[in-house]
Amino acid sequence: MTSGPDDASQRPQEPTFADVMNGFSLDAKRPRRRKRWGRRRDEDEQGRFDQAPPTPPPFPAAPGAPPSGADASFAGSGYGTYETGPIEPIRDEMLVAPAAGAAAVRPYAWTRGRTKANFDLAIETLVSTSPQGREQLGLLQMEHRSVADLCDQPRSVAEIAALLAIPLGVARVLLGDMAGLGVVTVHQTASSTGTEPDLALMERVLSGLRRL
Amino acid sequence: MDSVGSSFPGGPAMARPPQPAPVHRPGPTTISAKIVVAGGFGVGKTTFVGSVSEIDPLTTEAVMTEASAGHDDLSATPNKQTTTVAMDFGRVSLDSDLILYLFGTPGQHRFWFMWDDLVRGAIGAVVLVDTRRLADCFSAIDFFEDRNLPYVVGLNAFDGLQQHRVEDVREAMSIDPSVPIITCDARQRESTKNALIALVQHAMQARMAAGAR
Repeated sequence: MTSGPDDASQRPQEPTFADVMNGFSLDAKRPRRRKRWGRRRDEDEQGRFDQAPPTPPPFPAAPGAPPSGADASFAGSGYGTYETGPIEPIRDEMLVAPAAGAAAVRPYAWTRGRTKANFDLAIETLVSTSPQGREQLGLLQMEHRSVADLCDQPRSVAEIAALLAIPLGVARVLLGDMAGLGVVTVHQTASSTGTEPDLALMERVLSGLRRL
Repeated sequence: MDSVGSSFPGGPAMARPPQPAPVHRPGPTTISAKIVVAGGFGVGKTTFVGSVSEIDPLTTEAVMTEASAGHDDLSATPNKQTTTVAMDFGRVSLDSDLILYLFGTPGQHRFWFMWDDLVRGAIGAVVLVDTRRLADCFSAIDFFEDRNLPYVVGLNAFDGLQQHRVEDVREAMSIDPSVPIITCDARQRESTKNALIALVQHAMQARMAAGAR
């Protein structure tokens, strides 16, 4: 016997419409089949075949679900072999990839792996969507668009990272790209002119704080 | 993205330096400034930021990976390959075109690689101190002194009580007499505001003194 998916594809021959419908309605009675799909997520449950996994099968109409009679015979004959012999190695292989990628899209996929921005962006640097960016909003790629939506009013790099729940480094690369495209405007910071904020700006901050 | 890029006359991204509000924006050229809020774990940094911020303090994360391991001191956690840094910050609009950001430092020492980012361009720092745990803030003070960043020490009054006199604390921590030590209650907006005012005044004096030299 070969792998699970292969086996599944060999089994049915031209299922009728009724067979397919049976496949839907009888799914609940065939926890074993579900298990075959579900085990990728629930590796711990492999011993408890009687218990249906909480998740529905990803492919409800999996290659021509056989009628219940055929299914029952399968259960009687082939089931033991599924459990012990050939299944185990497949399980391990199949588990590796999903486990590694389980979290979400990797953050730096947003930046195609780059970690350096083209612009020198401090964490407090304000960024706002430029008129050009607003015009082209519909044309922007998804990530840029979510940034452009946020930056309708000036926001800092740190705010964008926090609100989009992406790491600071990713936000920097994205914003660097967008600034390069002219989609966003990079504002001045207190330290843009030098390494330290100038006295005039500190004066403004001071009087601003007093007015609070 | 590429099609958008090619239609832009400015050409490739790196050719354009970060100019102040290029040509597009007719509106105000809003400027931002930042102040760092440091101190040991649980000393009230986030409370301090939140008491004056117009937004609920946000949290920024930066993933530290193996790639950064050579630069970061991981000695405290040798088995840790990746971790997440949390840094709270708040925002105060001081004027129609001036926004002040308050950044709370990540407390853990292993995140010091973020401190450079925090300190660069900052007006100064408020070091919050819990007088029952003085030693917690030594590292922050050392760092700011090393970087010549003006700072004030804020004795956070837990339970509204100051346990020690300011001069005792100054002596215990051997803080330079020129550095202001103030008492504050991080929960009170007025108190936080006064601490920030004290810091900006101190930073301006330090700047003028440096300019006179």
